[in-house]
Amino acid sequence: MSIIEIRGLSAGYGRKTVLSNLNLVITKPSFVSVIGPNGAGKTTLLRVLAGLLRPRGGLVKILGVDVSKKFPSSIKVRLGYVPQRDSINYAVPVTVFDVIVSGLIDVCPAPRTVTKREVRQRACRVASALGIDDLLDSYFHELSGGLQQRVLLARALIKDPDILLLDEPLSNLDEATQQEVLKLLRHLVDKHLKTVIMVTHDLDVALEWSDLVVLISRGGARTFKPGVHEDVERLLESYPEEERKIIPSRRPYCG
Amino acid sequence: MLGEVLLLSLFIALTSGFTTSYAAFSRSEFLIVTVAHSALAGLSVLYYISYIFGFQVSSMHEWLMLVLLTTVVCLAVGRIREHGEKELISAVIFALTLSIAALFMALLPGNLIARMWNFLTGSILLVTHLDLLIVSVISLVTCSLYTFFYREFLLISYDYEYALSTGIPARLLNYILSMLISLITIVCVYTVGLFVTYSILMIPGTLLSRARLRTNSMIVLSSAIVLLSLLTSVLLSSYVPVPPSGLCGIIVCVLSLVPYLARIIRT
Ligand SMILES: Nc1ncnc2c1ncn2[C@@H]1O[C@H](COP(=O)(O)OP(=O)(O)OP(=O)(O)O)[C@@H](O)[C@H]1O
Ligand SMILES: [Mg+2]
Repeated sequence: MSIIEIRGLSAGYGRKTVLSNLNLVITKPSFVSVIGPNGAGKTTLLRVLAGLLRPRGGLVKILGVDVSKKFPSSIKVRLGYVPQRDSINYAVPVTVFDVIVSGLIDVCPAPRTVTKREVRQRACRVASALGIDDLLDSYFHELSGGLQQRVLLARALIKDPDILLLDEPLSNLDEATQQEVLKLLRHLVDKHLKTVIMVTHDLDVALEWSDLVVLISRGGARTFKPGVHEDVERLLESYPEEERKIIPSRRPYCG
Repeated sequence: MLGEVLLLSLFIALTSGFTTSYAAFSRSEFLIVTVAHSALAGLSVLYYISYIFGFQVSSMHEWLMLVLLTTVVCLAVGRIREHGEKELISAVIFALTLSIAALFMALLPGNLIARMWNFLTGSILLVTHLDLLIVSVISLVTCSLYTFFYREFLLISYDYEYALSTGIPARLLNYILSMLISLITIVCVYTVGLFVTYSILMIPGTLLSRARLRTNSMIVLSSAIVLLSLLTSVLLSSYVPVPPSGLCGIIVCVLSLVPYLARIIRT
């Protein structure tokens, strides 16, 4: 059974088609980076996988279940989603704890089966893994962008999902925190057999940390293996010129 | 009489505390205004029809009209919201319903205009047993739903995109939340009038959400403010010759401003 199987996917908004005939198969737990220019459809792909956007055509299977027509809750509870822009409405005075714990909302829905203490413990554990355990009682809207990003990551992690869908989780994070988060994600893939699908604009990060790089452009997807020299060469060739300029090149891409 | 006023104020305060908070959280102030104006338009049309066909309008007619209208408006607004054009279209509904209300009210004879005027300035002292019964049932049902789905309603208010990605029926819950807000709006228009409705459903939530309070404290405090304002205004208006609705609006504003100002001074 594939973890994710997408065949001939087309998706869009209103009259606009963003993805057309996209194919992607992920067979074993892996760290997948999704890259591509602005407006290419990276977020759109993630929204399809998170059940927020219904595909117009094609087949989408997650954990062996066809979700293209109806997206069952049983699959949703196994996904951890971190939306791109902070989709949060700051008019609501919620605390960091509230936000993190809301990640469990579909895991232990009413009647509440998990005790308050258990919930608190889980929240503390995941918060300390992300270095925000001293902020649990702070108001979410009063945190800096980077800290908010970590809280949203903690919310996705608390329910221990099989697949993490992360839309630019590294934006707003400083270099050191980025490395911490990437290490954590790598650990989740290697030791806990999770699958991470992360949208990023950082080609360096994609090449250094992931098992598979998916380049979205002109509606379709092409996949490259960072460990394979020819693949990296091909990727660099097909990577859009204008995108390359905005990426701060910290390390040489390949030997 | 006093017992009924007290009971009614209690029910209204309880539901308004939740409603004003959730309306502020989910930015549904426009829904309150639209539903309130539609209620006014619906009632004016109802009275016009009764005038033309020569029948007596009972409370039951009024309630049926209101509940029917709320359902329609709420479903329409819910659909519009899904498509992101909420400001534009609710502005249109808002203007349209107010015009309809003005048009039909102008066509009514004096005694019916007086009845319509009651829906603007309110008549908590004129409630009947039937009204009290209906209000208590609606209040108990809405408060139970608000409490039971507290976490869910909170999540869809502050992060709808994420809520949709979870296994909870976020779309349905969003409709239910809008429906509850609308239902309480018409209950308020019917019992305390349009002017008081605006003040008790929009002001505490908007101001207290900026006062650095926890969400549940905010709901409790809003209820307390509404209760105090309703009772004080009724009491005061029996001593001074001013309408309770005006007094109530002022008291709600002053009381809600206190925690907000306290926060500003502290920071
Ligand atoms: N809700 C929407 N309604 C209409 N069009 C949309 C909507 N969301 C996105 N689009 C369009 O779909 C296209 C793809 O958007 P998407 O957000 O998937 O791009 P992206 O690859 O994530 O870009 P970025 O790097 O800027 O995040 C864009 O042209 C965008 O304008
Ligand atoms: Mg995007």
